[in-house]
Amino acid sequence: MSEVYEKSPFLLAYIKWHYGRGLKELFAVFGNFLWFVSNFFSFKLLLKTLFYPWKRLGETYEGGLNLNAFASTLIVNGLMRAVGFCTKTLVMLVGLVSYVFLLIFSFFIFVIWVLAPIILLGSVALSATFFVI
Amino acid sequence: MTFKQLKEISAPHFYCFSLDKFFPKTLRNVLRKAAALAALVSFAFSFDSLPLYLGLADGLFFLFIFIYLTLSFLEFFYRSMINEGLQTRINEKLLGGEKNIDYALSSILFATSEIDVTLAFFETRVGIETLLRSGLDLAELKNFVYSERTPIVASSLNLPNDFVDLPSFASLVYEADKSLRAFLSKNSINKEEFIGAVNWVMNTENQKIHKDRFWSRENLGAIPSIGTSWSYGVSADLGKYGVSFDRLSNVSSLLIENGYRNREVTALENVLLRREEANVIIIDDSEDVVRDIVGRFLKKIRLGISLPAFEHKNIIELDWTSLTTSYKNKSELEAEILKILNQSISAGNIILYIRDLSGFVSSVKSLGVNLPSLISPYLSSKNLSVIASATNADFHFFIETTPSLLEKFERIVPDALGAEASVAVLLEQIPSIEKQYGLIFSFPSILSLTKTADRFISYGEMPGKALDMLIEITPWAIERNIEVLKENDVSVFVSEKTGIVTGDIKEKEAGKIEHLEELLHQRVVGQNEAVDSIAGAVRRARSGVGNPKRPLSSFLFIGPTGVGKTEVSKALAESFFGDEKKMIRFDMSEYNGPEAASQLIGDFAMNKSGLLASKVRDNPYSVLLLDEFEKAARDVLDLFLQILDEGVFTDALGRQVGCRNLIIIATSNAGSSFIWESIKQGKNLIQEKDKIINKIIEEKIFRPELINRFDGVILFHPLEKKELEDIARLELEKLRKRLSDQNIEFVINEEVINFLVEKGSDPEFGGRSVNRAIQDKIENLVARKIVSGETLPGSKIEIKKEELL
Repeated sequence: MSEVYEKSPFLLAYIKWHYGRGLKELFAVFGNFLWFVSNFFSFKLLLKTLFYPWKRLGETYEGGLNLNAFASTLIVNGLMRAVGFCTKTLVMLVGLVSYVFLLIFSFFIFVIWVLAPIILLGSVALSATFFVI
Repeated sequence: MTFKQLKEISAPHFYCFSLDKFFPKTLRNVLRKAAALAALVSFAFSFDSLPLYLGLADGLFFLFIFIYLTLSFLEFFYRSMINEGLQTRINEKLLGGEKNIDYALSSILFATSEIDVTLAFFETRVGIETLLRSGLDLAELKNFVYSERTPIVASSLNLPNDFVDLPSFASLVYEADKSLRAFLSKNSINKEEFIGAVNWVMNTENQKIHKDRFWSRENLGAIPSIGTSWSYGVSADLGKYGVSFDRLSNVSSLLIENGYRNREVTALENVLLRREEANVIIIDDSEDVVRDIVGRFLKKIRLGISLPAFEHKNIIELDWTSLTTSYKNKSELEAEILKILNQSISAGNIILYIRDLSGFVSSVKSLGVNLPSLISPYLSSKNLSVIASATNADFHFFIETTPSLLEKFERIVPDALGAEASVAVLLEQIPSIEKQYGLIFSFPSILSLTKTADRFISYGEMPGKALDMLIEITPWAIERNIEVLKENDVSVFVSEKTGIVTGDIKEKEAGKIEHLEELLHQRVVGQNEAVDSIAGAVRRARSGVGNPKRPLSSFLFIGPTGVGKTEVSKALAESFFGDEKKMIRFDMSEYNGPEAASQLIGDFAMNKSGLLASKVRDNPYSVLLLDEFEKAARDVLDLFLQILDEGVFTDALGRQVGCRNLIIIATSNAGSSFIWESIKQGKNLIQEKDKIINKIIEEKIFRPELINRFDGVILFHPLEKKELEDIARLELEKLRKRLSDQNIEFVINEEVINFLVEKGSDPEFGGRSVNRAIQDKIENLVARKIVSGETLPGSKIEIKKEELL
């Protein structure tokens, strides 16, 4: 693909890159960041362990017929699972919001990218208009 | 590929260089940020004039937006072009990886003119960096550029068709450009060093580019994720006795790209992937080697480039010393160990690292805990992985003899690495050391550091020895205000540290080695053939022609007693190691019994270290003199067969003892009667040498394979009258000096010398009888004269023949 840029003057090479390779690369970078967000909030792992106790803490019930011990184990373990569930859900929600924001942001950048010539020319024109008027 | 084609395919990088040339990077960045800030400010000001007022602020806002966007697009383009041809650890399908171009090379090609290819190496940042890293000074570079040299044209380079990177290009230039070659070799830089430096610079440049790509998967993936620790368990007791592996070993400086220890890390991953009994024992005498391998594995996990099964895994090192010292009671200790193992399993992401497994086993054994049977069920479970380390000896003596442990662990034996592979490890450490101390290392200095560490440090293993030396040399260089460490500095450091002279043969020393024969003759009378062949062998060793995997030199001295064999050895110790006391002497007639070998190499059963082993360890740079070698027991001779061949032996305790810095001299009277006979018959000893050696072999005094292992078999002939005279003169001169200290002048006359020669012609004792006659007759006489008051300080003694009779 480098043949494309071969000996081309700078501006021509740039324009070819902007709508060819550059655009592809832009998508790849978006992909990387989206991958990063899902990784950073460890969606997969949190979903898999959503109902696990918080930090796998808990008591082991020794068995036998001891109602008190049974009840305390049940409560402690239930509580740990509840804490785990709540925190993980919260984190996943934050993650999800970031993901959506990132998607919107990516789309915004994409639009700017595609419309770059219009935006650049437009801003020059607008600025000139303001100065003239 | 032609040079033109190479330049054409490198075009993407050229856009970056021309951009940098006309519009420097820093200026671009400052402008871009300023434009962004200005756009924001003007945007804020534009609100003053709402509803819609077309004023200055709005105009400025659009202007700054234009500037900002233009510069941003330019920056994207710039970065995209730089990354062309970059090889990434994680394949992102991100474009351009399929290109066969190298950024560091392009930076030189950009400035290369077709009529003088070499010049670009002296005019570009990367080029100058490679030359500085080769160990050259800036002033020297200028001298070369402005000197009369023959430039080479681009068409003379024979470029390969597929892929050219900076080292392969530099190598072509090196081959083609005679003046460059001469210039480098004048500064004692050879091709290996030059290309090594180029390679190093290229890798550093590539690392910089990798680091700058914050949007790449390899950089994003290395950021630790949140929430993983909530899903895995915490282990309170493991927290008490376990430490995260990367807190004890520095894994951040390790580079995965250099492929160092790749085989071992892959083997480790493969075993740990197993569903059950996923345990590894890494066997090496150096704990550092094991930690290095485990560290590289952890680094791969952290970078997210290990196998998916190891995602989120953490390696925890069990601190068993504090664990065993905290408990005094068997059952409590057992309970604690089980608790730690249970918690490691329930945590779900822990790989347990146990340093020195056999040490752990024996330390809990003192409390009566049978660790192998206690942990055996855990080791076979599918929920726990253990990495353990052991030394070779411990593995054979303790773990191999415990089947319940042995069958649970897969063995990994790291390759023993030589100097070459160790260079990569040293290079990993250089950036942080350079940053900390402000010292710059040249590539040849690192190469020489690893080579000398491998050769001259007898303790420890590579690359640990080289790393230790790197840590020692840094403050040494800082003390001496060295800015760029060169190969020569390493030689000076090594000779200061060990007393052994390495590296470039300096002028004074060159003279010493060149005239070694004369130096030896100052102490040794006659024996020209012997002295010549010894000097030849020493020259071979010092010029680097000798085999580094054997002792420096080894000789078998054959000849009657008192003809200078020991004197030659002392003279050699003095001229080679700077002191005649640098000599380890063994009378081998004491080592002819059945116990002989264990006296020398030690006894495992009695945990006793051997005499030879400990003396060589204490004096690794010396002459090892083995008197009456033929009288040693057969197994002792076999031991020396190995030492002469490989330059090392293993003592009874399983430790290697290096003998590669020794000059080994074995002396023997064997065949002296034959030598006497030949002399009596007026034969030339040099021509008789083979016959004499054959005779020794025929009489089964030495086996031919033993004789062949020596660098030289050297015959000492009985002393002739002239030589005896010289010895007498030499010894009397010593006496004269001693007496002149007491202000007494001793006159040496022919009468005394003739008397001594006559006494010294005893065929059995040779030159030694001259010494004895001096002691018995001359010294006694002088002493008597002093005691009786006949001779007073300030007077003169002259001994007449009559007085001696």
